[in-house]
Amino acid sequence: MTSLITIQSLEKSFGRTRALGGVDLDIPAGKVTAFLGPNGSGKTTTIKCAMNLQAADAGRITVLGTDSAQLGPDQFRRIGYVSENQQQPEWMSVTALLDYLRPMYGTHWDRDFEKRLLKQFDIPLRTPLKNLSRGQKMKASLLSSLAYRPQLVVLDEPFSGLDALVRDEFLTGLLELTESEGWTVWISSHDIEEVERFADRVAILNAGRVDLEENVESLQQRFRSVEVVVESEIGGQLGTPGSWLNFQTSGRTARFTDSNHDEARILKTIREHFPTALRHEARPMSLREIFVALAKTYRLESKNGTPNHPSP
Amino acid sequence: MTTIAAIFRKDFHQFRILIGLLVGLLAVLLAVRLEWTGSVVPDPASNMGYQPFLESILFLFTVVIAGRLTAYVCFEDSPSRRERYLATRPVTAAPLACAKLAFLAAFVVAPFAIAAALYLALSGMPFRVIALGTLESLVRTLVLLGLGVPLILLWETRRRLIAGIAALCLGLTVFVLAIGLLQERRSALLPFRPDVFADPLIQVVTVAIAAILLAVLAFIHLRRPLKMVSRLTTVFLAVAVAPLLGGLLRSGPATAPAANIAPCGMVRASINPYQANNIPSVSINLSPDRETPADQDVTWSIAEIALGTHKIPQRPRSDPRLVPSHYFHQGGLTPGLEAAIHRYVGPEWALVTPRHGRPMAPNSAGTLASEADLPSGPAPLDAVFQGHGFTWHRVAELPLIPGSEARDSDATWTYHGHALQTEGSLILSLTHQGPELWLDPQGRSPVFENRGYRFFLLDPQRQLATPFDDHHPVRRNLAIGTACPRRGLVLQLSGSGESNTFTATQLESFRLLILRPRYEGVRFCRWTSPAPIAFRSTLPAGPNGLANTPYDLKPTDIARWIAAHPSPGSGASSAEVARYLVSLLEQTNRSSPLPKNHPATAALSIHVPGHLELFLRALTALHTDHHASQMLLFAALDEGLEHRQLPEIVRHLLYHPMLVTLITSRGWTADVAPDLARLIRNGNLHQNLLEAAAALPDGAGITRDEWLAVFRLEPTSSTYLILRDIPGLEPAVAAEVDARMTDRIPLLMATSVDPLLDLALVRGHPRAPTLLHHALRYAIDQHEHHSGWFSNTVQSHFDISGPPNLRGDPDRIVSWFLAEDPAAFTFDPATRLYTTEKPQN
Repeated sequence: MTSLITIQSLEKSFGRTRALGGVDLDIPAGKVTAFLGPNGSGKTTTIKCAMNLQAADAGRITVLGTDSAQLGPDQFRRIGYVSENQQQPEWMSVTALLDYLRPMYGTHWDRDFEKRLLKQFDIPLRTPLKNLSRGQKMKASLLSSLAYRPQLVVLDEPFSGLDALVRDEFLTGLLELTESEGWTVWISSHDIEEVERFADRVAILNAGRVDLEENVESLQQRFRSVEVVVESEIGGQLGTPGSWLNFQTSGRTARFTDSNHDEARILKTIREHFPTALRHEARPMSLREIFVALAKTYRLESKNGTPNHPSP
Repeated sequence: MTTIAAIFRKDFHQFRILIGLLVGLLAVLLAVRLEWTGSVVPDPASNMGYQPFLESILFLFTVVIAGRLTAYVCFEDSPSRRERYLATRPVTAAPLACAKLAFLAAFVVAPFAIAAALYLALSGMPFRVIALGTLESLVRTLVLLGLGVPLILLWETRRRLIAGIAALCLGLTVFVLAIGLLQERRSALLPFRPDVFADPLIQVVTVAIAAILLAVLAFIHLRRPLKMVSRLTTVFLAVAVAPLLGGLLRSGPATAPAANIAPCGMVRASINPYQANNIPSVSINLSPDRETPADQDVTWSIAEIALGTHKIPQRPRSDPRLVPSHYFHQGGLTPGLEAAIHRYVGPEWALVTPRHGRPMAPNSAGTLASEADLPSGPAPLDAVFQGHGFTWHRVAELPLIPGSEARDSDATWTYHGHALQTEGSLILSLTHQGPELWLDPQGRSPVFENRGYRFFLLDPQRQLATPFDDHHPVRRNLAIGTACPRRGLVLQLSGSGESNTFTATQLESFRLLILRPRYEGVRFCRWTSPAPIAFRSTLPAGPNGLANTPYDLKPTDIARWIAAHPSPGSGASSAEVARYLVSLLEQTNRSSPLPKNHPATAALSIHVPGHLELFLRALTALHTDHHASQMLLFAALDEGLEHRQLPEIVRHLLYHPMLVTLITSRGWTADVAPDLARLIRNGNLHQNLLEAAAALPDGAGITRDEWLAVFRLEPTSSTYLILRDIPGLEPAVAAEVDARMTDRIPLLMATSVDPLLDLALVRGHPRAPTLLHHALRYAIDQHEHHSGWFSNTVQSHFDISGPPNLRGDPDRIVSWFLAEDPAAFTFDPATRLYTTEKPQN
């Protein structure tokens, strides 16, 4: 699988604060990679380093086959970058913005596609950006970064601050385009439910490191929320497998997240640990639930200082 | 190209309001400068003209707007700002730079250049001036942008940009303070005179150097980002170093190559104690006896000076353009100015000066030596002089008819009117406009205050030329900083306060003559004092400034004090005598001068033989305003001094040459002849010393040539009177006077006699009676004649023994003289008086 972005051992500090402590990540071509992580985990810093908006302290980033520090017009003609942090020329109208950017892309700019996007996004053309709503601004930004049909779309927290309706509109448009154009998308967000709708892959960043990088499908196959009911109340310490995350008991019921689920194997494993088990239920998990489960584990790890890697 | 156009269009659209504001301000500024909104012509009656405050404000706003526009345009897409909007767009540095430069050229550089060109064209300047003036504007704006753009490109955020500007200002402030401190301490580390920055070319070069340094810094930073501290430090240092390099360009050689330094001949050395910042110091003023053309003024400065082996740092003006115009104003008139008047209006004219006399001695150059500079023992003084020569030339001559105009090359002078004020002052109003192009090597004008112009009022009927007061003649300036400023001038002739000097009808026939200096070159000469000088041995620590003593005691009060406080007696200790001396002087400091036989003299004189050192110390510590105390000390010394004490007196002659009178009054002059010769040869030309030496049979061994040099350095009637008695010297001194009378034209003064005329009368010059006649007539016309002043002159130089009852009656003496035909007077060498009778052989 070809990667459009490869990040190896990326490190970045701001003063004495270590933001990234050795990030390794691949963004495969033709896939939508969701870049998830709690606030302050370093998502935006990683993206900025990849886009050469910030200098890395250490590590290596290759974007479209080029060292990120050397990114030039050839690469940026193939990259569409949209960020909630991006300072836009707010005094410009959408028309003026497009007129401004169009000559920079020469023949790469697709006027018909631009018209199609304009129609699809339905944003006022003559109103200055500063007078547009947040959603309209994001649409304008997306439009200005897609009209030249980029090979790689990098979206940094695009849904931040958007209300549900606008987010849905935005996502629908993006989903359609991604599917129809076959773009490679790298999207950072903490809005996991929205990402789940179109992400092929997920990378979870925690405390400046990528702790999980996997296809959504395999991830969802691998994770199950398991509930076991036993005959009598569960007491004392139980030794549980490492793949069981967030193990909790309540009376006669035990709950945990199985991060390495196998339908055939689970019954056997449950019987080994709960010989008096009456019944069990293994429920598929949403991406959000998986993320929460992992986040809890990370928090626990950082408290105890014991790593419990949930990878398969 | 399309990317460049897109960025250019975007910037234009984004900053169109600022562009409009800048262009509008420039248009208004142009209108103000062209006087569409008010005239720069001063009103002579109210002594007021159009106040160009509006211009200053407009200009300031224009510069601020241009600065903001530049900052916004460059900062917006600065490559230093990694998160700028264009950072993830396919734009390389080249089209971005092209677009930004094109924008700055079109909306910052061009508007200023067009405004400059329009101003020059609408001011009626020829094409050459318009072209050069526009080029100057272009260069100035480009250089400023060259400084501003790299400074903007160095920073990622506005806050950091402000920090960078602060570092720039701090660097400049530190440089200015350092230069000021070094100048105050006269440090050898100061590589140039701070006034080099008055030259616009040096200003531009300095900014250009700073711009290059910042551009290199920005280039390095954009390739490999530097830390904030490194950038701030470098900006600070670059701004501090740039003026240093700029100043060095104009520092020039301190002196000519040694081979070009001629000996000066004799030098007049005025060495006096001085308190500088409460530090005992010595002021050294030197006038070299260096032959200069009669029509030239030379502004001497000291290029090098050493007291023994110790050099005192000097920084002479290497550029003649930086010679301050006040060098020519001392005394109002200079030999060069007189020569120019002589040349332009004719030898039969006279010069009138209501206030100043005429400087008789050559221009001097001075320096201060602090106590630390002074050698511990006697040491020679060695000095190299640098003299910039100037001649004066007519710029314009205007009739005093309102609206009359005169052109000098590309400059225009316009006369607007006059006002006669009740106290007798005459005010003229005129304007001047002319190119001041610093890019034109031929046309670069001197950087004198008011460009060194001198103004003379010509009265053709009476053939009188009157120089205008030289205080602040420039009243209004417009378009400063352009290639062709317009100045409104108010010229003033102060009256006596009693009556009008002129009538309006008279003024109609008057003309205004305008002269300006022309540089003639530099010369150097060296002088080493023939004998060592003991600077430190008798250095007094007396105070300067006003004494502020209440003169509330009379000689009788002092006598009563003496009666109440008897002198401690001849056998008293040094401490007792010192206490008594101080107590008595505290009294006499408040008194008017005491008569000769006052008991105070006797009370002190008895202590002179035993405690001379105390008296000399008191003399050096006395304030110069305390005349009664000084005279008392002299009287006591005169009465009590003993011959064995001569060496001590001689030691004090350097700072107190008047002490020589104690020696001459006792008839001990011959004993100190070598000391007198040494002092005179070392340049101490105090009249008492000259008198004492000249009275000796061999003139203290001073040669004829040396005496003639003394006269050239101190060409006064007093010196003439001293020197004429030296056997065989008078013809040569008289020839010196005659040469002066040929070169210079008489000066008419309302309240006293021209010192040159006084000299001519002493010498017995044949034209002198006629000139005195003329001077007296003029004084009477001015209604300021006081017979006493002139009658003394007449009595001193004319034989008034013939006419009866003249003596003691100043009015009758003056009337008698005026009634006589001045041409009929001849000089009688025997009586040394002018007489109407034929001298008897």
